[in-house]
Amino acid sequence: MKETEQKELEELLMKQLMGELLSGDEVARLNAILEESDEARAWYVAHCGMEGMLREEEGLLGALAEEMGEVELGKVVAMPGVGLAGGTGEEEAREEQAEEEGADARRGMGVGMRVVAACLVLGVAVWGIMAGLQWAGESGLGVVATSVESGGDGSVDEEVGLAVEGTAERQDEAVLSPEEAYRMKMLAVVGTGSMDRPPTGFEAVADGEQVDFNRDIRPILSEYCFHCHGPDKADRAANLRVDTEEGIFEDLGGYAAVVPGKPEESELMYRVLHGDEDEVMPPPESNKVMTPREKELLSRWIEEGAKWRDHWAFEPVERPEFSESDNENAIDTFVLARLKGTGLKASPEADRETLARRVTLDLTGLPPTPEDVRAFVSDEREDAYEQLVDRLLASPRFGEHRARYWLDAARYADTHGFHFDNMRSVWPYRDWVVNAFNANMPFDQFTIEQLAGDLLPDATLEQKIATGFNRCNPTTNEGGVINEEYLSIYGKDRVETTGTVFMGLTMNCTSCHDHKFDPLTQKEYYQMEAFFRNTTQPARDGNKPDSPPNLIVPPMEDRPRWAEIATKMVAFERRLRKREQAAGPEFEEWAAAARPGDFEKRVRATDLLYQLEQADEEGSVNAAVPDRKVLTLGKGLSWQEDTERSAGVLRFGGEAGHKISLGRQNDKLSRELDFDRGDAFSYGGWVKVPVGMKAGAAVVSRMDENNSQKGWDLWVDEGSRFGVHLIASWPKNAIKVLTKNKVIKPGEWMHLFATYDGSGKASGVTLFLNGKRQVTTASVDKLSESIRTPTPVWLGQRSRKALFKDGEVSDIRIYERRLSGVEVAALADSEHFETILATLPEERTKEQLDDLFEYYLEVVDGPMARIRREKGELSTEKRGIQDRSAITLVMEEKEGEKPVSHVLNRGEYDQPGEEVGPGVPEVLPPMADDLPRNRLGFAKWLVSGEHPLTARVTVNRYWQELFGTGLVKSSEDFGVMGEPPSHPKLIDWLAAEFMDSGWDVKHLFRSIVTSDTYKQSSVFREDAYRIDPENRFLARGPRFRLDAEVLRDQALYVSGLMVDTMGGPGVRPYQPPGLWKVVAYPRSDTANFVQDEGDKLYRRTLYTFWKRTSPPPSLSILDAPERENCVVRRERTNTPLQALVMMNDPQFVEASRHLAIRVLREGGAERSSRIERLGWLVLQRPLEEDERAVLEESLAIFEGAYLGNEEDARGLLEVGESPVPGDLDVGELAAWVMLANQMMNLDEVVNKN
Amino acid sequence: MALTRKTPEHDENQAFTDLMREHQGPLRGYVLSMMGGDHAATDDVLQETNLVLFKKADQFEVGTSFMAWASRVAFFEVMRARRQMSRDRLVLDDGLLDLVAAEAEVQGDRYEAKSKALAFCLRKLGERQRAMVLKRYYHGRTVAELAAETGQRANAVSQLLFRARQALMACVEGYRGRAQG
Repeated sequence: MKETEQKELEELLMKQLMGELLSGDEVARLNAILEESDEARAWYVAHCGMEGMLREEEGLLGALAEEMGEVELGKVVAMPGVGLAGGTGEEEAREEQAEEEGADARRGMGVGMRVVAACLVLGVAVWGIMAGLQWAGESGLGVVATSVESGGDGSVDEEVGLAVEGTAERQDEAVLSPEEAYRMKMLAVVGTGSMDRPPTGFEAVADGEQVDFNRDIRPILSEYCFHCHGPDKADRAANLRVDTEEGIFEDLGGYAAVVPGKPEESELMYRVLHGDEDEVMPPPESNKVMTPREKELLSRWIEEGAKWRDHWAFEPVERPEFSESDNENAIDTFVLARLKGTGLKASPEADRETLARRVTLDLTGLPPTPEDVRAFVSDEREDAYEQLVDRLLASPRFGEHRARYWLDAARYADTHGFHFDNMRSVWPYRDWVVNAFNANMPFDQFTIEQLAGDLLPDATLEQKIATGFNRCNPTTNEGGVINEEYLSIYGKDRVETTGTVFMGLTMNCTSCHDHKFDPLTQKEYYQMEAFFRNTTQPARDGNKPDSPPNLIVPPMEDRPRWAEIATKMVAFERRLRKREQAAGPEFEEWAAAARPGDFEKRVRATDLLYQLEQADEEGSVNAAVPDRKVLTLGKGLSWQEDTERSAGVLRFGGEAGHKISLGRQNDKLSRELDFDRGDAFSYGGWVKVPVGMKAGAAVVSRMDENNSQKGWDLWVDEGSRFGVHLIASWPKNAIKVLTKNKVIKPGEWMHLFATYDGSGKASGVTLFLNGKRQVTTASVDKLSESIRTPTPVWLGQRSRKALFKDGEVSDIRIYERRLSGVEVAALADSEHFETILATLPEERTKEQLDDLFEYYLEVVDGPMARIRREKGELSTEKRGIQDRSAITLVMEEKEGEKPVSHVLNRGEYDQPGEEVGPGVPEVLPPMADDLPRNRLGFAKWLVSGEHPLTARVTVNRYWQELFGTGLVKSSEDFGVMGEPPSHPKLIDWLAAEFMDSGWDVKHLFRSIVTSDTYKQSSVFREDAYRIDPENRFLARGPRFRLDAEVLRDQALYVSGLMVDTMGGPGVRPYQPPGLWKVVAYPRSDTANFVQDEGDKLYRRTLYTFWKRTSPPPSLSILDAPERENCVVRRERTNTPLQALVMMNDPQFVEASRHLAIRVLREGGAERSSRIERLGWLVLQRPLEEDERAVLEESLAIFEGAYLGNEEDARGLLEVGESPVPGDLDVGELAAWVMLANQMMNLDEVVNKN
Repeated sequence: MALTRKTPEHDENQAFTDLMREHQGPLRGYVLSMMGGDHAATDDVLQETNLVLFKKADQFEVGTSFMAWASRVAFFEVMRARRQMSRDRLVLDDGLLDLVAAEAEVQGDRYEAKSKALAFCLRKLGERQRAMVLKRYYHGRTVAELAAETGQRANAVSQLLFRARQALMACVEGYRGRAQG
């Protein structure tokens, strides 16, 4: 390729890649060059390749960006992705030097806590990468890190060095090609067999012991056989099933899979032992290979008679017997019996400080105070521990802590989840859960109210709130989604959540086909779904927080009054009816004496604010109230006596600019006519609509067209309908009600009138035509803000337009109350009543008397008016409460419809098959005949006491909360693929005890935490570890890392920052900016995270606002689930990010500061006494001598960094919103903050011991 | 949103997705060269290609070259796209396609080596070029935006980027040479 061509090609390609269009000639040149020269082509392809790589290699570039641009600490941190292998000698030398510099920088840590401090150094950089640099960068932590580095004493820190080198070493290992990685993954997948199945048989059979079917054999069969010879009809091979007793022993024509006592005659053994790949079971393509041990077990089982037992979890709960004399506590009896077989001995009881901390964390989710612990340690009563437990169970913190676990299971969140992921208001349900645990609501009631509180007779507000459980699922409002698909998704979510939470069943496996392992059919899945499908909930949530069905939830303190008002309202209706019945004699007396003139006065006098009555010669029109000349005739308006109406009539010319108003802003009448959405008012009058109207027009209005049409009007559309607008902001926040029918007759005088009750609802608007109530439709019905506007009231137009051209009006009236139907009728036809009254009493017809009586009751009768006034006051009060109330989402059945669902072919919503009604799986006990076939019946069935799963699954979860692992480790799966219980008798005893105690949750917790098993020391024992690394036999007490929420609460609590306000909407404490924005649609109402201020930053973590598509990051890092679906068992991982959160998250840094302030204020003047106080606050125990020495040493290092270094110190102290106290030395405080931070990161603090 | 119980299928899909993701760069380069440097057309073709690859995931044989397989799919997608495009939008002549495809296939191998080399070479770029490359490709600024930001003419920015790519190409080539030698 010539140099000129090279240049030309470069020019052309550059243009192309910039997005400029090439001319025809240029394209031709490009082709010619490429065609001609191989070299040109190679270069061209390579350049395109480079462009492609650069566009797609975000990871590489991202790492580079962080490394080059922003992180100046890069020297210490070896960045991933740096290819060292191929470097030239020069580069390698440079890199070696950099390594050395890194080592230099690392010199200078003390011994003891150095790992923590080193992580602080490392942490800042990585946190920066993780969270966007401005955040941590500005916080001053970067400065902290460098300061610590340079405070050196010359000793090389080996541990840190190793850690960093370790990372580098891993990078040097041969990188797998993607293809190789893929192959490895495929092999790994194949190798693990199906699902993450636990090892076969938790308790192995001992030699000489009988083989136990459920323990030893079923796991083998389910692992190797059920997939093709199990419950799924569709996939069953050779028409053989070995998951039932009938199937496995069935005569298959002279032979059977299993012949009891005779392994050599059993087809199963023949196949299992066969060497031929066409004959052997499981077949080679299943990639499953039975171990010799498993084959031997099968053979032994058959030899011993092949005793069949049903799956343990589906068998009824039977209270196991135990002899009370052995041990007082049943739990300990079963645990010790289990231990006996392992050769392990139980651990001694933990020391009192450890025990106090453990049980306080377990029951309240918070550590004890030093005072609590001291009191307990010195409490010499025999039942001191039991007393402590009772105090903790009575604490409102108990309910908060228990609720936290439950909300994972209930997939509670504060946003809808799908698409916009807008806000959702269902927090009253969260508070209900807290209260239920605190009130020790029996678990059966807890279950029934959440699944079917709305269906209980005379359901209370609380019982309805409880049904939020089934409204916590993710919902959508995406345009274009198919409603049926989402209704199906919601139904499935409810089946699967209910299945997991209450029954430990993996129902999700059966949405597309019969269960592969458990005796559950696809049909049963949809029968269960039927319970949840008969709901009034629409497929789309409208992106609204209160997506219906919903419920108004007054604040706690208003609830008694709210309930009272509801009752009183009913009472008022009764009183009104009663008065109606009693009013006869007085009515007759009045009717006999009444004269036609009385009527006029009555309707006019009460609450009439304005009446268009007459105009004088100067062109002014009088208002109803004397001396109020407020209406000025403008151009194009005329006032004349109308013969048909026999009254004054106002005629609108309709040229633009010809308008009248009821006065200027702020005059007295305008102030009086200043209605808001909470006010009741009525308006209208006689109207003659011109023939051939081309556009809608306002007859009366107070509406500002320059401000989103804010205000109200009486509206006539293009000559056929009339109605009302009440607008805060059109069309998003407004009410529009029109007559359903085309009732307007142009050219005729008609009486048009509207009344409004101040409810803020379209249903509060009533339209009357000639005194008759009209059928209406509301096209817009969502008014939640003020409709007040400073623009004046107008006749015949809005503020600028909507002119009522050529229209005529007469006797327009505006009342500041809601007129009754009979009053409006009277306005429309005053003669009617005047005629009646003019008739002699004894000559009035029955019809006339009825009309008159109605009028009397509405307008004249004193007692009636009193009752109505009282009722009105009550309504006002009710509205007041409503305004301070929350909304929560609830369940509601479609009236008069039966719950049904369809079996969906392959689980596809658009392939409905057989219609099914509600029902429960056959493998479980049947629903009693007297139970209703709806959610209520279903809930009662779950807690009937017959159900084998509900109690077992529940007690297992509670056990898991305390011990870290359930007795059944797979707490979400009690089916045959789940892990068998480590202590079968214990789980049954707990389940039986739970039910027998009346599902008493606190009793259950009390039983467990007062057992010796629970109280054991958790100190690691090598002998136990060798035999039982996971501590499943419980030879020691529980010890595991605290959950995310507990860690944050603990930091807030020990520092004294925690605000213990309970309940209310979710709060938004610190999180890095921009996280929401990244995942959100711009128009989502949770696209922008706005951090809260003040107390809301320090609430218990339970109350943190949970956005489903971007959960609180510090919680996610510590293994909180996303709340997208039901989770009953959290992962528990250990990652460096977690340490970085604990050390650098502003929440934790600020808490460290407050802890330090506490220590300086409460810990006396001496270093030693302060360190001692720090130890008590954080560890709740006295410090050991060597620990004190380490802390002293750390403190000295931190002081070296901060004393006299005000800039760095301030940088650290100013993390967080709370003010820095002015009376403490900033350098000293900063050093103590670091020490406090270090303390809070000790594993004794991060773990429950 | 879809979080399901972890199943073998899940792992398998994940592994395949990883494979796809890792090869997006070379695939884009392949298609871009076939489309004569037309970015807009490349986006469309690449998307279609990815869809087809996902659909045919089960046809990919473990142990064979992913890039070879994927570029065959991409080739057909390029052809399909060309049939649907108006003539005047096509940059390369029909006769040239096979030649370019052959060259691109030769160059498309050994993704991981290239990626590693690129990581190395990016760090060797001059500061100005590196900053510009990051702004363009990581922060996604357009040339026009970059020009406005740096107060240079668009052409100068384009030149700078062009030189950066060329430097990277040379470096990657050299890196591979050393690695092989």
